[in-house]
Order: sequence, then structure tokens, then C-alpha cells
Amino acid sequence: MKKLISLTVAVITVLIFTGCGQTVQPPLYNWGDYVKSSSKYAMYGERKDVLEKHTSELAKIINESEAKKQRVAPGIYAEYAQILFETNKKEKAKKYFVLEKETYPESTLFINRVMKKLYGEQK
Amino acid sequence: MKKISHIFVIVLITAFFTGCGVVSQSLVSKGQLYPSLYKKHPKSILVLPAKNTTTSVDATDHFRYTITKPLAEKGYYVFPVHLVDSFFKSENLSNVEQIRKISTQKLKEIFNADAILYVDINAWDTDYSVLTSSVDVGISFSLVDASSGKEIWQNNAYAYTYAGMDGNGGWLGLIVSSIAAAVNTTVDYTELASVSNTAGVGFLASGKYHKKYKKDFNKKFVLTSDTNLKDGKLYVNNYFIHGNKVEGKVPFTVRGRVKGYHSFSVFNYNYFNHNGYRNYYITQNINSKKYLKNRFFRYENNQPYLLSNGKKVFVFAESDGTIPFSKEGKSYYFQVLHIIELNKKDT
Repeated sequence: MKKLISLTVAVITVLIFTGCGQTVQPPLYNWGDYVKSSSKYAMYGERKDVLEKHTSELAKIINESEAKKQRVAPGIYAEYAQILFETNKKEKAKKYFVLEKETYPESTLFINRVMKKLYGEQK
Repeated sequence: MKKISHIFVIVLITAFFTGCGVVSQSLVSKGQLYPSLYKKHPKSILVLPAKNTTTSVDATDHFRYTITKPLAEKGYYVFPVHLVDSFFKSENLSNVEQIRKISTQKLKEIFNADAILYVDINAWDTDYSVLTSSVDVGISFSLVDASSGKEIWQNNAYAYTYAGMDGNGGWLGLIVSSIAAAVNTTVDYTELASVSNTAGVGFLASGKYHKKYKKDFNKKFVLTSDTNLKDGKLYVNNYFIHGNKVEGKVPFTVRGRVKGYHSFSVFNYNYFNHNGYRNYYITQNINSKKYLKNRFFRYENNQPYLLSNGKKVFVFAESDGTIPFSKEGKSYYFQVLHIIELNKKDT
């Protein structure tokens, strides 16, 4: 009973602060530590440790999601591909650019445009 | 102890319902609230770099890089920010102003994005003292249909973080701070931007990759406001005009600061019965045009409205965006232009 009350209190308190009644949904994607890692990469991307940390975070998200047959979150493949390209793994990068297009057809035009810039006319 | 707990529950429940200011309640569906959004149903969103209208220099980036997750979790395809950034750079566009001046049609041509999201940071107030630190953030979101260039959704969000001694939240503050116990004394801007963005886009329609895609049109919720519609006039609470002049204890408001990171959409009127927002108006930069908007009104086709007892009440605005008010005795009111009845009973 006591537990139930504490739970009710907690739930109501959460309701108050989430703005009157939004329910919490299970997440659609695995994000790992993407948010923090991506922000840091944006600001200190030139630092080797930050770059390496972000690269391995992206790889980890991809591996974990694929292992669970879960759709990889929007942009993750593409940003991984971008880093691979920038660190001279250009052929490996291609695979992930293509995966972004296959997973999210909405990205096709833009990814094609980027690939044309990076790889020239060939696909 | 058991009795005390019972009382707590009752108080909390009462507080929950009265805390939302039961002056006027409107039962609204998402579809009614955002008709243009549901008409267009964008699948992909391109987020442009945020515009910082405040004097704080360190705010902007945090918002850009924390918005992908909440948008994607709503079911939208979000263009990869880092890739978008370097694409703009390769086109010699690195300045926020320049990028935000590109027409939505051009952006559609380049990215094939269905919608463009413009984010404005319009409040960033910090207050650091010996025992406490706090940051208040105000953000505006505007989602524009890429083909037509028209705004199809907008929202204002408010967030704050507080660290240090407990605020004047009283017993509620105590309960909440015991729930959110582990709080660092330094401010994590990434976290603050994350919670702001999450609150800001929380009420968007579900997108293509969400199982509620095209199914949440009828999802209803109750929105409350301190408004009263009478004789073609929309009366509002005085704080709507003047803000909360007196620093002090106001229940369920930001002034009862609670440790941690908190955020909400600005449309539950008691939430902004506080001193966190100093300005009544904000200037929003959407699609290279400047709009004067009021924080506390909602907008549809750039016309301001408030909800009042199940009605969308559109009010008169000057061509520059100012919304004039009149005084009648001690009450303030706005001039009503037209009304949309939301919940007509079936006859």
C-alpha cells in the first residue's frame, strides 16, 4: 500500500512537470550516448579523443541496433559514413551512405548529392 | 505515516488539477490544434542552425545538436546535422544568417525535405550566486512546409535548470528534489538544451516511423487558460499583460525552483505566471522574415489565438504583429476577430 502511494505521488509529480498528462513511450531507437557525444564532436571535433569517442559511439549504436534487428536512428549511418570518409576510409564509407538511403528513402536525393561531391560522378 | 501519505496524494491530485488554472478548460484534439500540420504530414525535417537572439554566445550549438533525437523519436526523418553542416560549408555557407536566408523551395530542391524547422533562442538568463545557480531558456520553434513556405506548426518552450539550495518550492520542492536527487552543481548545457527541445517538439504529430502515424489526429487533451470570452471580448488575467511583477511565492511556477532540468511547452498559463519571462513579445526569424510574436498566444496562419472554453479565439493584431489590449475597470481584454468552435456537440 505504501509503495503504491509513493508510486502515485511520483507519477502525479511527473505529470505536473511534464505539462499535464503526456505519457512516456518506449523509445523508437537506440541512441546510446549519441546526444552528448554528437554535441561534443560538433564543438571539439578537431580533438583526436573526441573524434575517436564519437566514431566508436556511432559504430556501437549501429552494431547494437542491427544485432537486435532494430532500425538504426535517422542520420546515424550517414554521420558514421561521413567520419569514415574524413578519416580516409572512403570505400567503407560508401557502404554506410548507401545504408542511410536504404533505411530512409527520404534521404536519397541529399545523400546522392553528397556522394557526388565526395566521390565524383560514379556512384 | 500512512495518513500523511494519503493527504499528500489528495493534495497532489488537487494541486494537479487546480495547478493548471481551472479558469477555462478546452478539450482539444491534436488535429484541431495543428490542422495545417496534419494536412501536410511532413515525413522529413531539415533543421537549420538555431538563431540566437540573446547576447549569450555559448547557447546556440547545444540546441542544434540535441534536437535530432526528440524529432526522430516523434517518427520523423531528420537530416543528419553534421553532414548538413559540412554540406553548407562546402557551399561556402557557414553563417547562420546566410543559411536561414535560403528559400524553402531551394532547400527542398537540395535536400528534398518536406519541412524546415527554424529554432530561435530568445531567452538565456543566467543567475549564478554562491549557493545556487540557475539558467532560464526560452525557445521558439517554427516548422515551415518546404513547398509552400508556409508555417504549419509553431510552439514556444521554456526550460530552466537549478542547482544548489532548494528553491521556495516548499513541500513540493522537497518531494521533487528527493526524486531528482542526484544533481550536479555545474550546469550541463547539453542536458538543458535536450530537455528544452524535447518539450518543444513533444506535441508534434507523430511522423512516418512512429506507430501512431496518422492515428493521433483525434488524441485529445485538456488545455487550460486564464481567459474568459464575453460579448466579443477576450478577457485575460492581469499577469497576462504585465507579467508577475512581484518576486515571490507562486505555487507551481518556476519561481518555486526545483533542482535539476525542467521544461514545458508554453501553453499552460499557470506555468508562465512567473518572472522567468521578462518580455511579452519575441521576434521570430522565419524563412528570412522577421515576425513579432507574443509568447503566450498560439498562431495559426500567423494569426494569434488563445483557447477559451473549447474555442479557438482569434484576436486582432496590428500589421507589425503587436496585439493591442484594452482596459475595462480592472480587467484587460483583447478584441476578438473570429472564433472557431472546437467541440460542437453532435445534434
